[in-house]
Amino acid sequence: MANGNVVTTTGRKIAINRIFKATPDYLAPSQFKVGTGTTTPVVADTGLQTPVDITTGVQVKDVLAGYPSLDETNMVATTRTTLFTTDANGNTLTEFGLFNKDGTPKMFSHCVHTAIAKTLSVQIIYIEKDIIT
Amino acid sequence: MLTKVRIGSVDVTSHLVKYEYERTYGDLMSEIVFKFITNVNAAITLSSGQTIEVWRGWTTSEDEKIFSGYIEKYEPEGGIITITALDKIWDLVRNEITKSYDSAVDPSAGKISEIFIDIVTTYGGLNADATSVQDSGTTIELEKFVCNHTDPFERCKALANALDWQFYYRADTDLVYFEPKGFTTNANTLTVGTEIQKVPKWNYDITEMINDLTVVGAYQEVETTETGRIGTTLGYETTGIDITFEPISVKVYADAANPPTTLKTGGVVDSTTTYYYYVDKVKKTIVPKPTTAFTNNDYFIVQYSYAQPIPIRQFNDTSIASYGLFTKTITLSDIRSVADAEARATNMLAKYSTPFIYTTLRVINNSTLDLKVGQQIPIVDNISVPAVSQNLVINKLRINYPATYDEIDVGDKYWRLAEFQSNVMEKFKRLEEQELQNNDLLTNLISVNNTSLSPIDVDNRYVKITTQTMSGTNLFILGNTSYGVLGTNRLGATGVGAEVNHFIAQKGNVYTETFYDTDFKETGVGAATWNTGARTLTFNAFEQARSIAIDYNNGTITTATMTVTSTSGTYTLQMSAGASFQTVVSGVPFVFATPGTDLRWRIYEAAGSTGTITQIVISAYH
Repeated sequence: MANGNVVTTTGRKIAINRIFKATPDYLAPSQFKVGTGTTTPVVADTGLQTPVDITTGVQVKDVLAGYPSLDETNMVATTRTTLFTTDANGNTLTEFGLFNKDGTPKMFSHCVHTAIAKTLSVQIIYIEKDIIT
Repeated sequence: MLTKVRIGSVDVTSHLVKYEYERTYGDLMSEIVFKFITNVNAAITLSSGQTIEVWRGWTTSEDEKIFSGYIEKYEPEGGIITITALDKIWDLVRNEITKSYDSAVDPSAGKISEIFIDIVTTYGGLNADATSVQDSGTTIELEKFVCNHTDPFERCKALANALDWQFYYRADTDLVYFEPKGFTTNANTLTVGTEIQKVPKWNYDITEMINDLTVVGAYQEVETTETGRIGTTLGYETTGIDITFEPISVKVYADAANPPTTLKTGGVVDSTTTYYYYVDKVKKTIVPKPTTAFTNNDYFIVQYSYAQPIPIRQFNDTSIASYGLFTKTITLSDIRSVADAEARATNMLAKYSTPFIYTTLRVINNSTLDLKVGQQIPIVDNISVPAVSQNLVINKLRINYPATYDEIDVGDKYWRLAEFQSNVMEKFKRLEEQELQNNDLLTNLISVNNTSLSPIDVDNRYVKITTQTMSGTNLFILGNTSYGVLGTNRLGATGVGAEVNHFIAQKGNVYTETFYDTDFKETGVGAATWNTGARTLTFNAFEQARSIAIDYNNGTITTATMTVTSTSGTYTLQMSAGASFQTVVSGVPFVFATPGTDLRWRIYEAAGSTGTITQIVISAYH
């Protein structure tokens, strides 16, 4: 396993579509998934390797209200998401991905990280910063 | 070499003195010139248009059919008759086609190869099918292809030019072929001194280069309306009305009422008897009939159509940087949309933006080489300087009888096509210039390519994961079976632990700090100033700056390289992998005494003065 974090090719498609189309075809990323996969993320990824339920039967959760926040001076977007103590318990989490809310949600970014054992006692905050250059 | 020549059904080989057969790369007809002794007339009465066929061989005289066509002319010269014949492509010249291939309606659906097959078989009377015509695909298609009382040969050339393909007739299969240039590869290699009998003279030429191309296509007729009042509106006088564009067709309404409803009659000076106005296209003026004038204060509506050209411009930066600027404007009259013009421009630019290489080779004549125009064939010349070893296309093949060698022109230039195109282009340009001579509406479509010079990139900067651990009973979380127990857990949140780092990773495991934010600044430590506006880290004497973890719990760190960019000052640079800070040298890989999983940096101003740092990069730690 190798940790890593990438903006996927799909993520770039979302970006270019939303930059140049008056009526974009894709929604902006506004929800996330977590998982237990350990394969190094690559730009061709379209989903988490092994997503898990955050709440029963539901694998997605909205990012925190007020996010993404945009720094238009430095062209940085900050996304903050939280897994509450009641979310995704019983999993050793190693994956995180930002998704939009298209009919079939598209994955904007994929991160594989050091494992966290998720229990009732643990709340996890994910902070992702993306930049346009 | 053995040969056989038949005119009609009569074998005239015994009367043959010699022939020279020439087939040219591209789509022109091949030609063969015979010399017969005069007594061939006793075998057959010659006439133009008779069929003539030629074979050659090494085992029998009919091993390979090399020509099938028609006598174009015959010329007695004393005891010799010279006969010139053209191959069956001539049938495409002798016929006529009038048809519009509309992609929305016609079965060809805009696919160029299908249009070609239909033209050749239906209007040329020749054979062509899926075995001889390559599928042109759907990337380049024609929305509309108009054939208006023209010969099929000229239309086939237009299709070939659009794709930069070739077409030709093969006598051995009796089929017309349509394919990309250099489509087939000859597996044989021609080497100077082995198959090639003479050291060739190589030519490198950039005189046909184009790397800044403007394609002017056909015009689109556009309608417009202009209104005014004689004596009041600028340009509306009793002596004439100025309009904006050079008109193609005009309709004029004029009377005292506003809006005018009386349609006036147009005419031609000294040609029409009764008319109200005529049109001076050059001056773009509606003029009253000579010796008359428009009525002062009358209202006029001028409805007219004019030609709007569809030009497009593209350029090749790499070729311009290598060879300088080569600018060309071409006019293609069969373009009917911007998409067509763009496709043709892209194709031409790809072909003409690099130099051409060409030469003539004398190749031994045998049955194994199977040379054909349009083939790519490896050429090796280790005698010339510089040496040549590359695949080139056979542009022309000359077969002589009697002779022990064939001649081929090879290269990636195609003078005849380029010359033909330039001649045709000149003709089109003259026609188009006449049509668009005074058209002052110029639509410039310029292609701006930012993909290499100024690309937009969306990328991840870093990911940070923190955790909060719950403990004790001084918290109540609804739905949590450990911390939501009535009678045990108390409302409040003092049992919620602080947010602590679990994982921090930079994109690609490279940390670049340019101080446009303070995400990685350790607050309360050090007096150096992070100037997010100026994007600098400034120091006064002996001041310190320190970061929080820039990589955390992302794998063991044993080495790292810190590179600092500054505009002034002298510094002590330090890094820690989690145990303690150690002094490092900018740009030099450092091995930590104690590996760890918490990478940070620290900088001191070391000269008792001031200083400014603009960037810190830490890399090579994973």
